[in-house]
Amino acid sequence: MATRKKFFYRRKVCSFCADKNLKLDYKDVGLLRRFTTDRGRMIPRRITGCCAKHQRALSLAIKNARVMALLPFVAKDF
Amino acid sequence: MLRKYETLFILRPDLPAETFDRIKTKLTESVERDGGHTVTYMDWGKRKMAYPIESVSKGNYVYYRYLGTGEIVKEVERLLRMTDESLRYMTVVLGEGFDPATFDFEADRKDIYPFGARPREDRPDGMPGFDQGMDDGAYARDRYRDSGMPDGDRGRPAPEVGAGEGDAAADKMGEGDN
Repeated sequence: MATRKKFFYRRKVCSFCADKNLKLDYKDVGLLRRFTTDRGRMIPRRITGCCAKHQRALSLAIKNARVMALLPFVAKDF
Repeated sequence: MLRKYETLFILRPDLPAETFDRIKTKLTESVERDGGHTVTYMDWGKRKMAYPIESVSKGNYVYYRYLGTGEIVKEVERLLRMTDESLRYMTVVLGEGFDPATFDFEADRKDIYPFGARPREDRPDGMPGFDQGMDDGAYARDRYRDSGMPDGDRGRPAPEVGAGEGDAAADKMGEGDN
C-alpha cells in the first residue's frame, strides 16, 4: 500500500450528549432519518460519532419507528 | 400513582368523521372508566407510510397520551385490535409516579409535535449538533458511502472522492479483489 497519508480528523461528538435539548424519540422522523442511510439502514456509530449509550437508545427508536411505518425496513426506491 | 403512557396508532386513511369520533370516545371512555386520565388525544393526520400495511399506503396517525395502569393499556390495545379500521398501534411508557390530583395536564399537553416536527427556533443557538442549516446526517451518510465498507445496499454509482483520500480508498479496494 502507498505511504500512509496524514489526516486531520474532525473530532466527532455524540450529537445527543452535545445538545441536551435534543430528545431522542421514535416519533421524530426527521431526527432519525439523519442516522439512517437512504436505503433505511442504521449508520454505524463509528461514523456518526454517537456514544454507546445513545446509539443503543437510537437503535431502539429506529426499530420502533420502523414498526409504526415511519421509517422503512428496506427502501427499494429513494 | 399512575404511569404515563402514549399510544400511537394508525387508522385507515379514508374514514368518515363519525368513525373517527366513535373510536375516540371508545378509547377515552374506556380509559376514564377504569380510573385513567386522558392527557391528550390528537389526530396527526394522514401520512404516507414507509411501506404499505394491509395494502394501504397512507395512514391516519392518531396520538393518545394518558395516565393509567397496565390494565388500562391492555384494554386500550384490546380495543384497537378489535377495531377493523386500525392498522397498527404502539404503546410506550413515558414515566411513572404521577398523581392525577397534582398532575399539570395543561403543561404536559404543550410540547407535543406531530412526528417530531418541532419549530426550529426552539433549538438554542450556538449549540453543536443539529443546528439550523446544518445536516449532520448528510455528512455522516457521505462518510458511510466513502468508507468503502462491504455493504450490499449501496445501489448507486461510486461517489467522487477527494484527491487525497481517493488514492487510499482505491488501494484498499484493489487489495480486496485479489
